[in-house]
Amino acid sequence: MKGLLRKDFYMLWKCCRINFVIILLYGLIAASGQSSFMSYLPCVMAALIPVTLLGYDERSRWDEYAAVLPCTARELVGAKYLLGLALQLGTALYVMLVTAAASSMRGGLSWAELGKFVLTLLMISGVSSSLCLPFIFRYGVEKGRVAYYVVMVASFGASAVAVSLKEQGIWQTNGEGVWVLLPALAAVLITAASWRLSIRLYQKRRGA
Amino acid sequence: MNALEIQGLKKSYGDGEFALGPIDLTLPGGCILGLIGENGAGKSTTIRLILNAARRDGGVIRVLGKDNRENDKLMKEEVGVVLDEVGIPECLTATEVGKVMADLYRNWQAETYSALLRKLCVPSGKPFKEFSRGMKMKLGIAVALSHQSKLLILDEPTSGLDPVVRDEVVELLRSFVCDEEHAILISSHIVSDLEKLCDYVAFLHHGKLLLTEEKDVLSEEYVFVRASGEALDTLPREDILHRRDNAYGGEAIVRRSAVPGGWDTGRVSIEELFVYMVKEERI
Repeated sequence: MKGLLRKDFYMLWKCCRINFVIILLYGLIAASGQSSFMSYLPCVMAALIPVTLLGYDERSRWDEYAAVLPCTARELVGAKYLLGLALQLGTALYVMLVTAAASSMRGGLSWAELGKFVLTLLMISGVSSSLCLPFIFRYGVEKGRVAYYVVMVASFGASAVAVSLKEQGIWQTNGEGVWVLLPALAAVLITAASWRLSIRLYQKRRGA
Repeated sequence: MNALEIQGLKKSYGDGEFALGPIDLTLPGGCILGLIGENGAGKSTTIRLILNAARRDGGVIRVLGKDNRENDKLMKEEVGVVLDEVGIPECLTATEVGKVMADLYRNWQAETYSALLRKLCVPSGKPFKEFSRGMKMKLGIAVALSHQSKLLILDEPTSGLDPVVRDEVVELLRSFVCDEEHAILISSHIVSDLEKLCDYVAFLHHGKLLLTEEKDVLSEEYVFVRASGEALDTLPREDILHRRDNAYGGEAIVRRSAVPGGWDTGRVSIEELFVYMVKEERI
């Protein structure tokens, strides 16, 4: 697993720098408070970086090579999920810090509100990648691209709905904690189920 | 101990569109077995099945004395593999590949790897995508030889290489099989390369194993004969592998035991044998 993560880290650094620049820019726009919708984009983008890496893997035929290296399908899938989770957490932390800095400058910082906001970010991004990855592991990036676009559109739609509900006061994130914790629990369960499913689908694809 | 034993191996794809086997092969330790077949003959499928990268429909595969499904990870630790397209990510340098492999293989030998890179003149800081095909193959071989592998499996390692690099690769592979602890299975459709290198050859055609035999025995078994058409007619049909008549008489590849003394005979290459056996199959 360590070797797989190291390989993905090298590829992240060499092939995905532009993604990080965009994430940083979106994070700053989100912190400016001009668009609540933009706040959700950096985490969703980070969550889908493993799909980009899987595309590079397929292009170089790493997936075929990995099948003859001493690493299991469980480890190959696990590396991508762990990387995706780490990227989402890192991006959420970044968005939280820049948003906190901007809010404190405007004089309206509420840590509780910010915590719930970050949790919502992680829920949307986590579910986005969890819905997408099983298709990619089963059909490959080329055929699984349809799922990728559907999930991207659905994620942005969900973000827009979340913002709209919040602005209209229908979704009271500063109300009962259960309304944040229940979806968070659901997101964790969806991620765990997606992880397991991806392992099985990847094993099936490899025919092993 | 045999490095590889395959008995009754079978695999089919789709609705029987392609069926491999049954295949029986044995690769003794200290030897090189060449798996020869045209494109689509089933060479890569056989290799994938040996490496447990595909599920077999039937048969037994023993790698280094153990069933290949017994401990997949341990088996892959002891088998070095070089695939046709190598499969190393394009942006990685040879140095980075070494670090990744050091984390993947328990018995990774960084010094051996560095020495091989130097010996094969593989640049350590250049991204893989900028490598020539020969250089890519050499890096793949350096990786396969740096984790104390006992069995080396190479899928079309010499196709597309220039003669100098091919010679380097052949030399390197020969030096690997220095004792009975090591063995090589190498697949190719470039028969001349395998002829130089192998102790055993196996002919694969449309998923069927036409023959498997020690190379020298095979070379001894058949001879190339030039004689008149009438003379060739006297030979038993079942001993003639191939016959071609022309204005001056005829040429044939015939079992040595069937050729009467005093006839004009010559050596048959493995490539000629393979080509004629495949043509016979088509007939």
